[in-house]
Amino acid sequence: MLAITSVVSVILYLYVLSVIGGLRYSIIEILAPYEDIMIDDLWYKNEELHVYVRNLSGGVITVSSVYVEDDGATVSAFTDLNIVVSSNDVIELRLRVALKEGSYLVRVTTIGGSIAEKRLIVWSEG
Amino acid sequence: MVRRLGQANIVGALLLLVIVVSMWCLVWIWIYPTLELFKEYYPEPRLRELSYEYLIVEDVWVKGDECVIYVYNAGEIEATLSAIYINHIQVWKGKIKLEVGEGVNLVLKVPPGKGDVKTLKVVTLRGGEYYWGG
Repeated sequence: MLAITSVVSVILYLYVLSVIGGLRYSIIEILAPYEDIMIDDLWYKNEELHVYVRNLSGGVITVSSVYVEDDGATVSAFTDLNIVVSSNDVIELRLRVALKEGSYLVRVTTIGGSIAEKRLIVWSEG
Repeated sequence: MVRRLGQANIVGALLLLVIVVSMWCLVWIWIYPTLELFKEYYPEPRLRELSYEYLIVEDVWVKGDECVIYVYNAGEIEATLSAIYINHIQVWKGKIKLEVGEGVNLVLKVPPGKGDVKTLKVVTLRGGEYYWGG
């Protein structure tokens, strides 16, 4: 009886959820560990971009992509990085990219969907 | 004549089924928003603690390619130093716990370049960033 009622109620509940719709998070999203990252700092020299990514969350995160944007347009994208960062750790990403003098926005994303951004100013070498 | 033997048992079982399903639904209806709220407020402890955290980079003394800094915890909560950046380059990474009112001296290597310390930043485990302006 307990098994039957439990199964029936779960099915009913999921049905009601699907009918209601418009919920902000799915059950899986709620139960998944929270991700939080930040870019500690970054610098650029000799066509190499150094990005320090910090994992502020309690679990392991995987950095998936880094985008370099100039005035809203992506000038360089590094996808499929798959770099694992332990909890409370900071790692250095070294990316080969040619940037002219100017102001850029560097965006780091994780597989879990977290995003961190920081502005990079590239000065002339002279 | 209609036989009604066991009818009460069947009705009772069905009634029990309805009651239990209804109660399960009530429990689920309560659990979902609670979990949603939990998800929303989960990062709050770190951010709340961050609002009590305050470090001061009191002194920076550059001598040759070495730099001695003194970091003081002027906040209302213990803090853990996690990384230090000079001119945006990471020069130190580790874990040093500072109690409230406690300070620490650190000897750092100035990254190669023009030699001077333009910017110096201390980052804590909570993600707090504390600058020294040279």
